[in-house]
Amino acid sequence: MSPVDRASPVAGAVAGQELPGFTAVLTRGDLAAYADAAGDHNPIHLHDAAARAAGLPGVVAHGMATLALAARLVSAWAGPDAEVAELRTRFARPVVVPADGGAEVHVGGRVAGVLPDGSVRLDLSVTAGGHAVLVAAKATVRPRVNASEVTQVTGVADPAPGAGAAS
Amino acid sequence: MPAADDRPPSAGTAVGPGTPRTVTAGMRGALLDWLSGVQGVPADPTGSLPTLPAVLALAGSAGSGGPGDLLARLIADSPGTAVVHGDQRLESARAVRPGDRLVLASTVESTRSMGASVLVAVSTAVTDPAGAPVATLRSTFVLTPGGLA
Repeated sequence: MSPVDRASPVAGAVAGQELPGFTAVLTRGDLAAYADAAGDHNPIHLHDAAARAAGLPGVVAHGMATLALAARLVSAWAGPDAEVAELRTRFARPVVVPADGGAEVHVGGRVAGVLPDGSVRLDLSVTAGGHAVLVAAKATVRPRVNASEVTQVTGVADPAPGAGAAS
Repeated sequence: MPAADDRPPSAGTAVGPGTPRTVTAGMRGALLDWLSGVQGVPADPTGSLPTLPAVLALAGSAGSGGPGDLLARLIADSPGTAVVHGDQRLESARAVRPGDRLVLASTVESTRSMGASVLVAVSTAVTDPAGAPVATLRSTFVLTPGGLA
């Protein structure tokens, strides 16, 4: 018998079910923050001149940032009783982020099917400006065997300096 | 990387295993804070970060064994090469936790010329220092010497 709480979204998933979507607004400030958080300071994500030199219309969002938005859709829906086992996508079209205001990115998903082990396959949709940002974006969510493995972010200290922390 | 009219980098080119990297709470926290700061993104009380193994691997510098390490070696002789991220696949054996020490090793699985560009497929194994699997990545990149413009 699956250890998943029968009330969990994953346990109750049915093919065709829509996930609660959302619209994110990405600003240049968000891109700078992502660059620092992820360690990706590719100038096409930060400076118009660099983006245009690369053949782009202007500063574009990191592909992995848009995938992170899709992953948030999945993890927020799945809850503590499940974990993401697989994510895949093609980065089809970058999100151009204007200097003023932001770019709306629409994130949605649908249950594609439920596997015999209780895992759920999802089709994901990320669009901006009427165009698909991610194509063939999919996720698989599996029931979490030990719910106590859910990491509580607060209260976890960083290792002492010199302990081999990544940059 | 050779010029566009030379042979593309060979399949089998590999880097790593790299120096073990420690996942810090600060690193995870920065990414979680980023998500919290983007307007419209829903909260997730579990603090899950499914993309974390890929972010760590792609951010890897020289000696890390990650895709970035491999790409840097491939384009070392061609400054100004544009790198566009094509596809990304991530399979997680388990969640990455603060304090985890991760080892990366990447290999060029295939290359294909596309006019002036080269499509490079890279696989990356993410393990703990004992070799237990944590995640597997498969990434593709389009490399264009001289940039895209």
